Amino acid sequence: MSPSLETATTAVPAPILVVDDHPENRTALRAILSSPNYRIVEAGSGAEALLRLLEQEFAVLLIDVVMPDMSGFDLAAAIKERERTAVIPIVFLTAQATDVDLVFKGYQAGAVDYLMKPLMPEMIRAKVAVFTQLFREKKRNEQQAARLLDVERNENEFRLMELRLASERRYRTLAQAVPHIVWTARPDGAVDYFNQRWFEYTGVSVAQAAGSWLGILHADDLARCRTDWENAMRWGEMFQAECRLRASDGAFRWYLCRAVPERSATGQILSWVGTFTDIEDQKRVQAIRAEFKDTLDAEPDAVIIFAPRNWRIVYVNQGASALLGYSKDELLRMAPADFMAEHDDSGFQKVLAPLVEGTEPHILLETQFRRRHPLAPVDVSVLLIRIGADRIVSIARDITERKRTQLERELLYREAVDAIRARDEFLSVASHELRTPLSALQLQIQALLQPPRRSPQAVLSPEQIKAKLEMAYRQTERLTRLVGELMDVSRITAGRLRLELEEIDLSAVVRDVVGRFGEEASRTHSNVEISAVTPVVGMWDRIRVEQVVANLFTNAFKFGGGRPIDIRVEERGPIGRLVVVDHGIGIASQDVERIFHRYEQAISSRAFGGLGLGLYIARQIIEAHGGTIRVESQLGAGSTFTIDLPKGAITSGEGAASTEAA
Amino acid sequence: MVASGEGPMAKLILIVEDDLDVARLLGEVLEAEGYDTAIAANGREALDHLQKNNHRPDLILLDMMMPVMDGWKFREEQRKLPALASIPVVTVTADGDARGKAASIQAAGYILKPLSIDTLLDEVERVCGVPTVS
Repeated sequence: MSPSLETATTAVPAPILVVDDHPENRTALRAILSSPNYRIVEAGSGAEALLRLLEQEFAVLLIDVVMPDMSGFDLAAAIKERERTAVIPIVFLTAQATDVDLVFKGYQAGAVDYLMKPLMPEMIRAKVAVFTQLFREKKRNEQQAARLLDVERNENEFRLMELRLASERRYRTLAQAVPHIVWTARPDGAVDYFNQRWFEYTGVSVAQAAGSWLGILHADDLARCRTDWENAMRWGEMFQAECRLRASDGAFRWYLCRAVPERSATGQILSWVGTFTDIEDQKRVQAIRAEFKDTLDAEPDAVIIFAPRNWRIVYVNQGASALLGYSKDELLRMAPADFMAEHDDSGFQKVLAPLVEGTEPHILLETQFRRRHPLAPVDVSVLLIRIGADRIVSIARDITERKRTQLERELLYREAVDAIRARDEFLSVASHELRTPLSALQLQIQALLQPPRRSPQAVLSPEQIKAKLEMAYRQTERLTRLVGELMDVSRITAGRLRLELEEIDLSAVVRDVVGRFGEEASRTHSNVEISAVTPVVGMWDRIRVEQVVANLFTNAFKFGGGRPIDIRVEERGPIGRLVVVDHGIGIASQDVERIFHRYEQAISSRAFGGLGLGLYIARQIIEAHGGTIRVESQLGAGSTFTIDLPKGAITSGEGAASTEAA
Repeated sequence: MVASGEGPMAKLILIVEDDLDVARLLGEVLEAEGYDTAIAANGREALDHLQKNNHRPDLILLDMMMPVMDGWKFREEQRKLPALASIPVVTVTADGDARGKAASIQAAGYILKPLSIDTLLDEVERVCGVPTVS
């Protein structure tokens, strides 16, 4: 035994139980073992010993073998049966060594020793010291182990607490900093923490929330989310749902709501951590995309979504690529001003201002897009819609076609208006023109039926009657001619002007027609200078050519102001030419083209009479022959009408050819 | 063109009308009643006629719609000439509001187309009396 060990253990005296029915023996042992290292407990019987053993622990037992009621061996057997006491070393005090050897065989487990009587004090002390030392070592080991365990446990707990606090702090700081709503809840779902963002967004205090975030859900989302959340809690699974959350101003925005369980090492759910992420913008983009996807990708409309803050283009559809001539990838690297022909960044910013400021829900813009070289710029109408804080959807449509058709429509409309005006004018002129011969005719017939008032008995001579009838006939001819003109126009309009081609001499036709205008010429005092001697022969429609010539002469007399009229027929190679020159009122240059149109007279007043169809019909007839009619005129100095008629293939003896013309 | 009537005492009517047939017919009807007539194809010819001939008409039958110089212009010019301004004018027109138009140029009367011989003679007699100077 090392003294150090003795010393080390002095502080705690080892308890020793002495069991002997003879008090003098017990006293003797107490005396022998008297030391501050030992504390002697005495027992007078086996029963008392067992009692002591229940009360406390002992380093060693000294047991007298021979005792009444219960022998030392019986007591030892009982002690060895008990687990707690089985390991306590036992030293028997006996007079017979053989007994002990027998007993030893029965107790393999645990230390058992004996001391022969008469007892020798040194032997006793030595044996007890050994057993006590064993006991102390065992005890110290146990204590050290316990102490070590304690220290370890304390340290761990402290460190864990530190960690937990740090993580909590970090966690809270983070939770406050993120732009999301963050909350934590107990395993039963009762919220014990909301971050600042929650209050900012909802305006709902912890007290008002009463441990739940379900109160700010949109009514339509509530049932679905509640079920999902309860299921998540029941199964300890992640909760995720998209739902609308009410802001403090009562408006709703879409949020992605997530909650994940925090578990202990053993898998116990300690808490829930929830995050609400604003997905309103994405939702709106999604909605718009979904809305536009099918329709707009199919249509040639260009859809471009961009951020007005940095001009980044975040989405383009196929239509945009097709319209601008750039690939989608190229467009995603461009800015709107790269293809806005009429706006630079700042200009476009001004256009977008009402959208960005939220004063307008959308803007409609007609502008031009530059396209990839060498494509020409394209006219577009652009609908701009703001979605979210920094997203603008632009839907551009190529309006080249629309503009063109619009122009065409406007042109058609103007033409229609003009045509209606001209027709109304014509109807007015036509009714006047038709009424004039009718009026004369009526007057003529009245004069035939009604004798003069002053000489009621007067009888008209046959010559007088004939003259009146001839005049009446002329009126019917005039009416016939007017009606014929109207029919010609309707025929030309319907594309049914039919030419009966035959070989005719233009000079002869002109001479013939001039002859018929003799009376007109004499009435208007116009001298007609005619130069049509040489035959000019071509394949023409005689009646129609006569009609044209008559129309020109009528005009020349009508507008010739009574001054000389020159008429020439010439042959110009394959062309037969007729020139009619008057020195009358002339035609203003702006009216020159118009006079060949239907119902038009350069002179707006109806003073000159006529249907205004003559030159129109003339031109249609001439053009049907493949020829041209033109006029050179000077206001106040007269007009020169020139008709060129291609003579055509002379097919002598083959009779009349006919051709259709519009 | 001046056609002579029965004698020097016949009243003269100047017919200003661009439609030759109508002018002639009016002349024949009036002459059959005993008036003398003269014809002018438009306002310009009528003015020329008035200025060249000493025989001052008793009435002018004026078509309003004519080339070269229409009825309104003629009436304006006529009223500028003191010797001719007082010759009464009867307008001949197919348009609506013939009475209003006649009044606007201070015409003595008006006749509507289509013409009726009775209306014509009634209006002529009303303005210048019977065909011959009694």
